[in-house]
Amino acid sequence: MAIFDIFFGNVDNTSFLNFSFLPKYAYYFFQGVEYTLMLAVVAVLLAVIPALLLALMRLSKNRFIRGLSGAYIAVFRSTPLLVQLFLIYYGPFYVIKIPDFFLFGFINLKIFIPGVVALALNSSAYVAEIFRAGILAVDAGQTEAARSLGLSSWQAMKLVVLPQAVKNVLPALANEIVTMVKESSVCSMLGIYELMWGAKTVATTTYISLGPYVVAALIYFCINFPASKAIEAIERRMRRGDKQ
Amino acid sequence: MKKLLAFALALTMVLAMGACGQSNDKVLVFGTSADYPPFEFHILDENGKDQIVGIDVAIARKIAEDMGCELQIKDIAFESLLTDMGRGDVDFVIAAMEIDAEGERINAADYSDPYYTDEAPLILVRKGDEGLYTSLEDFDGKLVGAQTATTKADIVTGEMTGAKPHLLTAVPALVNDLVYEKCDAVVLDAAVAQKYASINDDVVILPLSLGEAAEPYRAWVAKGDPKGLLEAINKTIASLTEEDLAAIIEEANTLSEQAVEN
Amino acid sequence: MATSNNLIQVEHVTKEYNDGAVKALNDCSLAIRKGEVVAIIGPSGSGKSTLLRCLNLLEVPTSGRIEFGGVDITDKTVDIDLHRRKMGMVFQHFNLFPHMTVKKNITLAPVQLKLKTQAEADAQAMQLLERIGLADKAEEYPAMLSGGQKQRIAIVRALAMEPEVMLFDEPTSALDPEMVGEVLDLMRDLARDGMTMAVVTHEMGFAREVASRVIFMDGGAILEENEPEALFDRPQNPRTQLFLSKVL
Repeated sequence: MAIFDIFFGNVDNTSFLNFSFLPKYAYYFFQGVEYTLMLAVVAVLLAVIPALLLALMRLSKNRFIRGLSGAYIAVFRSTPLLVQLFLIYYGPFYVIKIPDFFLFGFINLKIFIPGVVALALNSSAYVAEIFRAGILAVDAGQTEAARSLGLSSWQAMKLVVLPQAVKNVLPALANEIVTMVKESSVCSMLGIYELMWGAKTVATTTYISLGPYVVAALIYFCINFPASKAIEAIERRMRRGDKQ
Repeated sequence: MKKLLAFALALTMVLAMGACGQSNDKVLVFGTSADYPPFEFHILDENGKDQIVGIDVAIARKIAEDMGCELQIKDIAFESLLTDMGRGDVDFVIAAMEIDAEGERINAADYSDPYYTDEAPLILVRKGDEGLYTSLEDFDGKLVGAQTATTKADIVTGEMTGAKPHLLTAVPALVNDLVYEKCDAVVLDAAVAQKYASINDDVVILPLSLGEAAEPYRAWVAKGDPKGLLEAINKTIASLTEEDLAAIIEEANTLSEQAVEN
Repeated sequence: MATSNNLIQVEHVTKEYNDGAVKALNDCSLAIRKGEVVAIIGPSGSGKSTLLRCLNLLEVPTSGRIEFGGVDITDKTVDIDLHRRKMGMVFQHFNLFPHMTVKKNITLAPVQLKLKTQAEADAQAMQLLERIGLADKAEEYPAMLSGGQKQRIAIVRALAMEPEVMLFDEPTSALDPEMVGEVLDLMRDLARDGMTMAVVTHEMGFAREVASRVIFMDGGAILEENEPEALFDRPQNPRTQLFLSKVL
């Protein structure tokens, strides 16, 4: 197939620019966006608490606790998400049985939960490092001031350091959702109806084998690019606020 | 912690229900890999709702109907089908799946009588390359594609001994790879190969025989048939007349054609 | 040897960093009596801040012992949090909590440590703010205040715990010159009211006027201590003489 044919004229089933499926099959892409956003947002929200725990453990004085958290982070950051997904799906979620239940009438929890939990466990390793950096970015003098007043180290962390760390961390957390929007595509392997799964299904059913992926790519881009730009803008404004 | 355990236990109990045939439960869980038209594939029905249809799905429906059960369809990656059935996630599998030469499937699951026999698999090549291949030896050193864990993959590794196998899970990806020159040929089930050749100007079927007929497709149940389904399945298969099967195939092909139309 | 008059007793305290590669404090001994104002002076890097921070264990000494009110606080079994309540500390960079109002800054510790109800703590905070003329800033956030205001509020925050001693770590070093006065005035008031104070400072005038005793440190050691007039007018140690000749 000539390169010329790929982009112009001769719009056949293996062309990049064959979008003739769109009017009929837009449904799969709308549904895909819903699932993809739901996976990304829920995964990052689920990741917040374990990530905070991991970050605090990472900053602990106890070597064993520090090591435990470090090991978790190392394992999840050094192995592919796809592998983690399969191991979690067929391992823990073989033992933990989830009944066939459809949330909002369309989300099949039996595969959605393992998928979103795998994403969350993976994400928590990255978010933990975000939190750790956010906590370390709070001036040590803040802890010293709190401790000098007689507050315990946990009170100092909870009342003084964490509230300030949250501000440092929010933009990075939003960026993690953007990352998860992309990474959640691995969940198509479990049959979760997210964007990548939709593209694959349309390609199979219509025999138009590349156009659907081009559409998926465009949708991913249209979600993530404006989102990252917005986050950048908010971050800039927050930094300006700090200086005043 | 105790509460959590109790919750997990309750969940397990909810799930520990048997298949339709044995208990009072009326749901039969059917596993397939819906990326293989016209055997099993997704369509949008007239209400714009996502549906899984195809030859295998129609047969599964017939089986459930004969048993007086409700059919629940699970769309699972082809290579995970027997694993998931072994875990008890699905009760039976129909997915254009035949007995494999290596016998790995027979070790993992039990099978029914045949319900469909396709022509022998066919080889798809790029248009203009037909002249390059007159015997299987001509594939020596060539990259030949097939679906992972299928009998077609066995053909590439077992019969086209000089060829280098290029194994992927999805057929559309294999055809893409052929068109975009990532591989030199693809071995597909006859019906599937014919379909792709008919809608794709860039690929043609090689007039090269890979045997008389394919291994027939069968329904599969978990090893040892723990849920006692095999007898009922075979009964339904035996009851299908040639006309019944022809009608099912006709309907699946029509649905597939309609899905392709815009 | 510890007399009941000594509120703080430092005995042979040494502080090392990096496994002894850096010696910040070298065998320092010091006693602070109730009601005394001790000024600690010396060139930068002399260890005076480290010594002060050892007093409430923000720095943990490598060896030696520190007694506060007759209790050895370097003992690992001692709950240091309980003793820190009684030792107010004021930092060079104020370290106000930026996400809390001025009033919340002041009431946080008394309320969290269940020493006062929020209402009691609020009333006390307003009283303290009144005293320093900043009652109108109670609901402001620290970012809205000048450096001098911030430091005075930091002092008041420490006072809200009703401490037995106040530790000042270069309290005016980060201030614009025109704001130094208001902070020193407040400290002078505290001294007059009989507060026990340890002050690391570069303000020689303040040390001479307010301190009951001045300590000169260099190289991590206490080289000389005396009443202010004696130390400033007739320094004995040649290093003290050299230092004073540069700063006075």
